[in-house]
Amino acid sequence: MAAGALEGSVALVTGGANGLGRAIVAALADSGAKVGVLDLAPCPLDRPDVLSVVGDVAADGAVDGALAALEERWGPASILVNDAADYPTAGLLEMEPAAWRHVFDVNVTGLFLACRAFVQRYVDAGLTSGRIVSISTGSARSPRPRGAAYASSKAAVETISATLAMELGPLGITSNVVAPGYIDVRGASEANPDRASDELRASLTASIPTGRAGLPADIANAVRFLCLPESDHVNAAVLAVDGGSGAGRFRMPGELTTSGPSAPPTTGSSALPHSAGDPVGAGA
Amino acid sequence: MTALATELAATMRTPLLETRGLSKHYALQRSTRAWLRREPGEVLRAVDDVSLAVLPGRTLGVVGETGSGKSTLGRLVLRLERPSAGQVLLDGQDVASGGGAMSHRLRRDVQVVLQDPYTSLNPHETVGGALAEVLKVTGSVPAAGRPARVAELLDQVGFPSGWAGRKPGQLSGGGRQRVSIARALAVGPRLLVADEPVSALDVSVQAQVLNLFQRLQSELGLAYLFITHDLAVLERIADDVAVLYLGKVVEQGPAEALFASPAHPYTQALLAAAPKLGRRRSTTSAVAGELPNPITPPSGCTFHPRCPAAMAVCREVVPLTTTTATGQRVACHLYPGSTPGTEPPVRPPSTPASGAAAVSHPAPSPGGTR
Repeated sequence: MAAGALEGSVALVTGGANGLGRAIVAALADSGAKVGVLDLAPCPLDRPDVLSVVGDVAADGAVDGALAALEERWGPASILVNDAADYPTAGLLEMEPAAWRHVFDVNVTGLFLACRAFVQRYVDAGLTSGRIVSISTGSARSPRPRGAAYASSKAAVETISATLAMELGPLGITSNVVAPGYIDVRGASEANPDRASDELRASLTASIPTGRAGLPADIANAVRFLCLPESDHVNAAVLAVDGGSGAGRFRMPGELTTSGPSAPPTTGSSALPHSAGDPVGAGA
Repeated sequence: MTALATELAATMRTPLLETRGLSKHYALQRSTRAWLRREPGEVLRAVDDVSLAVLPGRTLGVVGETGSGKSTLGRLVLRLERPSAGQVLLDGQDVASGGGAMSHRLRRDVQVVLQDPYTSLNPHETVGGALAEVLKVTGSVPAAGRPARVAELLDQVGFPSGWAGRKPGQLSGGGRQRVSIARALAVGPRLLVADEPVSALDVSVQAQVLNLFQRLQSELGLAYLFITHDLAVLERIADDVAVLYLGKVVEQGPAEALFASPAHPYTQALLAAAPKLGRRRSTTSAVAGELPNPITPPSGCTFHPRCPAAMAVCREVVPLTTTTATGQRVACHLYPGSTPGTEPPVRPPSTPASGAAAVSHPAPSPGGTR
């Protein structure tokens, strides 16, 4: 991707301090965009084209404040990346109602507030081309046990994105989703370190046709594509970036995790019946 | 973007000026006896719970008869009067809580053009002198740059620059109103509050001045709060229209829809009586009957004594505001949702005897492994 392809653009990435969000910030900035980060933690990327704003995306006025700071420094934002998310893992009786509500406050209402503030400023500034990219998850369609809050909140994100694609398309704003599969975020996030066991990691990787776990840069590259002028006609899309793990049952339960895709089904030690979901997820 | 999209974007912008529940109630003086008896005083509700929005670069027309509160509304917006209740917002910020910086912004961003150019100009001062004085007082232009700015302002309102030496007495009514407009433009406002700016002018001159307002809007991106008693003027110039009656907005909406299908009987009557530009103004009263005493307004819908469609409910119940099929907000019992307590009741969830059979769900597919 050409460096400088986003020269002159201003972007806001929510949840951009850690994990996938941080990779997205770096990718957009490397392409020439000026990037604001709204996150609970300051963004560790120390570079002049990144502005870190500490705040809670679910709080009234937080996104608008970040957009105002960005606008004052570099002009109005034409790109919004919704990456901030809360993703507890808890079963029905483990999940406290307050924790459940917090997931929807951040992942759904926070996204709504961010889009609202972004579009109001876009219209007020008289911009004619804009991008909203929201991060979802493969588990929105293929959920795993103990992931109801996260998966259902991300299903809501996909529905909101499709709705906005229709509402905002006439204004020149496209609204798309990037849905990651399993992403190995070891070393990419201090806020949410990757705690997956080697065994789980191996079994998840075995479900991916490309034979490797996704990396934050894979997601960032997809987001960057959806921000480029060339993606002008891509709207209301859900772009799965999962190595093909969401396509179907690459492995049947009971298959050896070590066998290659061409190996005949064998019996033996079994992998967990896993999903395309990302137990390590995205954002802050 | 297409023209339609540009129009859509224009209507989505943060209002340049907004009023929320804006009210001005004047307490009338009580007799000593009434005061001693602690009787409640009479109150004139000149402006009552008015919520409007003027979008950047667009025109909101406010129409009403004498006594409707339209000029008080203009004075409230200009902060020449303090509201009894409600807010005025500039770019989404409450002007009352903005302190000195906000007052300064309001004075720079919002300027006024009044009805009578005969009394609003000093007869002894030249046109150029009047304009230069504004530039001096506001400190917006240093002394050396003032003659050029005065020439620019005169040019904007269609005067030859040589007319800077003329006095108001040497100008026609239309010419004087152009000077008033130039004076309002001097500080570089974004919104003009125009209170009956063409009412004192001949019909042919009215058209010229309205043309000037339209040209300035497209050249400078100005927004207008255009206050008038004359719907024909608004048909010519307004993007959105609000109809005031006894201090309340009885109907508001996009001008095109409002003129094509006026919803409120008052709007319908005003429109039926409105002359088209270029025709002689009708001398008969626009609406049957006279405006009631605003101190003791009629009960229920205040328009009911004059309304050809009045029903029993109109005498008793104040109508709520509802949205019509064509997109206007109207307060009239003729429209569903306007009469409190009569909305179609929310149906309780159906509980047929057969239980879950009310909604047919697809049968779960067997054999899924996930």
